[in-house]
Amino acid sequence: MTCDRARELLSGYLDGELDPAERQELERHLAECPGCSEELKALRKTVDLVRALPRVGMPAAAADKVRDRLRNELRGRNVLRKLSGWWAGARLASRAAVAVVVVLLVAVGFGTVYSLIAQPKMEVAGEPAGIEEMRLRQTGAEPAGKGDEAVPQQASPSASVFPDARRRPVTGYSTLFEQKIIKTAELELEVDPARIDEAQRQVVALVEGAGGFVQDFSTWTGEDRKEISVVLRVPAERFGDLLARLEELGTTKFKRVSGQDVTGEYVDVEARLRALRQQEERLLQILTMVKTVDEVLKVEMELGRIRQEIEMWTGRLRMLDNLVELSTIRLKLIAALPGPLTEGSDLLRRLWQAFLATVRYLGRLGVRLLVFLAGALPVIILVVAAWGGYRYWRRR
Amino acid sequence: MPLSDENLVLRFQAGDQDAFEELFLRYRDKAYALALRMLRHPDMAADVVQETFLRLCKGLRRFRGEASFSTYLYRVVSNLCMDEIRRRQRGQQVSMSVSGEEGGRQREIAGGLSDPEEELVRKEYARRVEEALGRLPEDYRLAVVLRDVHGLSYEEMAAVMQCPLGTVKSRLSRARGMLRDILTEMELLPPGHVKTGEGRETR
Ligand SMILES: [Zn+2]
Repeated sequence: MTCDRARELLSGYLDGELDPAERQELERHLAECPGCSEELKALRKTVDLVRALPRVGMPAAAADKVRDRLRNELRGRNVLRKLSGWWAGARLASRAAVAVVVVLLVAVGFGTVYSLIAQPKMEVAGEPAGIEEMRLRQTGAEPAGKGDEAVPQQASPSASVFPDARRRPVTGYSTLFEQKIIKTAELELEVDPARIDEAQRQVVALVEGAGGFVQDFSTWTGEDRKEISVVLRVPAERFGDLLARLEELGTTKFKRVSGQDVTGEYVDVEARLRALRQQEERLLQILTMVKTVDEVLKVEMELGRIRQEIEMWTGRLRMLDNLVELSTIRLKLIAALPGPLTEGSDLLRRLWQAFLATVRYLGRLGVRLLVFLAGALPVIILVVAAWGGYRYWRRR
Repeated sequence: MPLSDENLVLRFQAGDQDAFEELFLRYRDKAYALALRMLRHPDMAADVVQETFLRLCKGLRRFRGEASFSTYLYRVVSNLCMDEIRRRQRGQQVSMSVSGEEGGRQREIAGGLSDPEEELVRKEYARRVEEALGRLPEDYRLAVVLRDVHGLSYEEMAAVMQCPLGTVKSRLSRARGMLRDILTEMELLPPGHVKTGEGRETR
């Protein structure tokens, strides 16, 4: 396999979308081509960065505006439908009656033949779509041996120039190297509206029992539903256990569990920090040598940029560590509030649905028969012609 | 028991308006997230969400379930976004997001050396990845966002992007490659073997 071909396949490989032969061949190539395995690593990190983006929600004000607009639209539609419905309904009914009679007559004639030719199949409404979304995303582990780069570093010379106590423990991370995996779960549970507050208390109790805490909490009550959103942080080793317990509190509507290996990123960020500190030190040295105000300003500006970058990456390390130690569970409890309208009309709605289902079934049957009729038309024409001819011949 | 999307669609077709509102509640955030990443403008994204659901409201009556509801929705959202982007491009060539950054950076330096809160760092990080996404051509961006943010399968993507499966694969592959280059250029990824392209942005 050429490198060009291998690079084309890497993206599909990450998604597990290669066929087995391609995959084997690629893996063989990766084993002996450091360039392509570097490329794979970089691609995987790219994908991880995108996947780690925070979930975006629609701002409540904007969402309410759209909902109101939709309600108006739906109401307008309904009035129109009712007005035009009576007239169109009456006309349709008479036409439909004629059509049904024709279709039934034909059906009697050809029904037996038809059932021998084709087995009509009933479509069944699909499974809940929620299942589709329950994807377990597991990014593959970084190759072992990555940790070798993480030899305990010598105290960097910049430490003396930049004696900030806050930074020390960060550089120390590399000495206790291990697999760093961020576990995250998103979970949406439907709960009984009468029990939502109790469920919320149970969530808190469960999390605290597991040695975790509630990081963020919000509730939202709309006309027809109440939502409680919480962000839970729990020690990584209790993650799976807690998730299972939380699921017992209601019906799972949405679930996503992901494990993101950030070992490689750890090493990279540390290397980057080392390089930045060296740059910082060099700039400080230059600063003692420059003469003009203009030059001083320029160097200080560059220095400011580098220090900001150092801050950012230091923060990133600290954040990674926090995320690895404490798994995150984003939990949403949803309770449908019984509206005054929905309850009474439930029976009516079900009756209406049953009625509609039958109408639809009859419609489909009609369509099939019409199709068959079209196919049989030449035969019918022949029969009619023959019959006409016979009568013409008899009359003579 | 929660109803499936298909069930809600059937109910709506039968005249149940609450069913449509339920679909809206279920999907507004997903629709908004996609539109926001494509257009990078909150108001426009909200407009797209509104237009999407107005169209669904009309279109769903004829919807037969050839695809899942979510695929149908994503398709409407992405078509609307693409139209908007094309309209924008025909109008004027504004470089979004990158402008004004210098000012922001300067300001941060002034007070930036105190103590950066974790949250701030996280936001900054996300912002830069979003910026990188924003520099992808729109069809590439759509592919990456559908796959890696919304978690669609290749088949679903083909249905949303209205192109063959092979095109999905190659487009996603190229998109990720380009994103990798941009992230490297922005120093969010370590520089392995940087492709020397025509550096669009010089710092
Ligand atoms: Zn190779």
